[in-house]
Amino acid sequence: MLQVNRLGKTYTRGKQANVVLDDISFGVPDGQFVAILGPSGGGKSTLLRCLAGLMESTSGSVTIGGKIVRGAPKEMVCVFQEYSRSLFPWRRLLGNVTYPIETSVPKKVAAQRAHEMIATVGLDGFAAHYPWELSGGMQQRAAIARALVTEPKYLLMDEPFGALDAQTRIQLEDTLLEIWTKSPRTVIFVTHDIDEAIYLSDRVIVLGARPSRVMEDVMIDLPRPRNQITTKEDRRFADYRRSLFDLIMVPQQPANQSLPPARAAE
Amino acid sequence: MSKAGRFIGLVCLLALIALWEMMARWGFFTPQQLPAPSAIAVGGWREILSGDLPEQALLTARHLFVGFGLAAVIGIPVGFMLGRSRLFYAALQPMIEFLRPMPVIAILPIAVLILGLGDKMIYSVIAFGSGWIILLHAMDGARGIDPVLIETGRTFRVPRFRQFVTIILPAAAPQTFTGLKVGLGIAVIVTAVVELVSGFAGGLGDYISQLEGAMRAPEAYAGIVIIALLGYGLGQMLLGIEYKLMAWHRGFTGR
Repeated sequence: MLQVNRLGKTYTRGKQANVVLDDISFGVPDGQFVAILGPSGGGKSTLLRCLAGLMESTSGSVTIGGKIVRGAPKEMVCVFQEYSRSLFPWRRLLGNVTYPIETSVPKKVAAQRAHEMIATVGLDGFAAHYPWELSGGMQQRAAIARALVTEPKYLLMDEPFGALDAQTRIQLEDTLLEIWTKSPRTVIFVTHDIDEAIYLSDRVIVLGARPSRVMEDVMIDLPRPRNQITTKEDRRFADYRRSLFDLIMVPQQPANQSLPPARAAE
Repeated sequence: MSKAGRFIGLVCLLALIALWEMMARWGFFTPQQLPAPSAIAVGGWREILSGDLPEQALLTARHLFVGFGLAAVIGIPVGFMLGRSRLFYAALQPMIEFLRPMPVIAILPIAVLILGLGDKMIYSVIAFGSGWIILLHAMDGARGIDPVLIETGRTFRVPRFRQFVTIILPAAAPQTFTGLKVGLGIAVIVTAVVELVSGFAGGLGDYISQLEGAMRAPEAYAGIVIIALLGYGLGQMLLGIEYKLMAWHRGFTGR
């Protein structure tokens, strides 16, 4: 169980205090797929970075199994939106995927596990390629393989498909669900895309615009395995979509006033 | 470079030498101003046979190699530290900005006072002259590393030393190599200047100025050609190392 207790984050620049996260609390049972949904420029990424231990919160705490975590917790790995900047350009795909485990397991085992993971994400045959020889979607698959090779209990994903084109994105969503179904682990998936949040998740936590609070916490009661056509045609999918849409869009008015500063500091 | 590219470069070089030879023979300039390439070759060959030129060239090579090596060995680690530590940067940056623009010629008398007349002084001055540019490039390279790469290391809980070796070093390497290449050019200049000015160091710089004074222009020019060749050779070595280590970077940047 991962528990977020009254988490807050304030950036101070000079005398100006900018509250990004305000009193965020929720718990995630093991194995749940949770989407954190919020408007662009909200505090979603900040929240994820606090969870991943890449950023210190100003108040509150995160506990795993009742223990307060500091720094990057064990068994938790973050996948970034910027796949092309996150992969090491000086390592081939195989070297990138073995990277997190090559100091903890023998070389042969690391390579074997990396090859398996490369096959799992659908990159069979590309192990000897450099990241920059791969397309954007393949690069993000590589980044996911590198994260999963450590067998993390918690997989954090920061708008991982946000920079991909629509088709590639759909393919990656389904690949991710397939992998998750085979070996369920806790996934915390940040996105600003309402459809993506509903389609993937067991549960959607809606964060408001800044200062971000938990505005809504919805269980997604749609059958699995999900299907890009039938799931999205489901009456309940449309209902979730409508209610989340209202939540996300209403506090945005007037939209052009709240956007620019928020985006700059995200 | 392609074969055709190399061929064109060679043809142009040979054409320039031929033009130079003709102009010298037609009397566009006196043999003292600019001797013909053939005269330089003959004079140089005589000096090589006498053993004088090789001895001085070897001395210059040693000065250049040790001085430049010192600059790299100090400049790169200090540059990395400055690039990665804000405290270090805040502490040393003003001092560096003050020392860096100081002309090597102005440093020379002080170096003689402190280190005396000897190899130590020569190496130090060459290192001083060429070290800053190496340091600055290493620093910029280490500072400009994409934060996403650093965060990637952090999400995998990579310890500090491993982070340095597996992320910071390779990420800063391309720019560091640029610094080394620029620094080498400066080191060649400073080596010649120190040898020429100090008067005791020997080496090709000293050799050139003495032969110039003795009105033996062809031999002096031969010395200049040898210095250029030394710098070129060391530069090619550096490029060779870069080529081997940085295959990924050529592909990454599409060159």
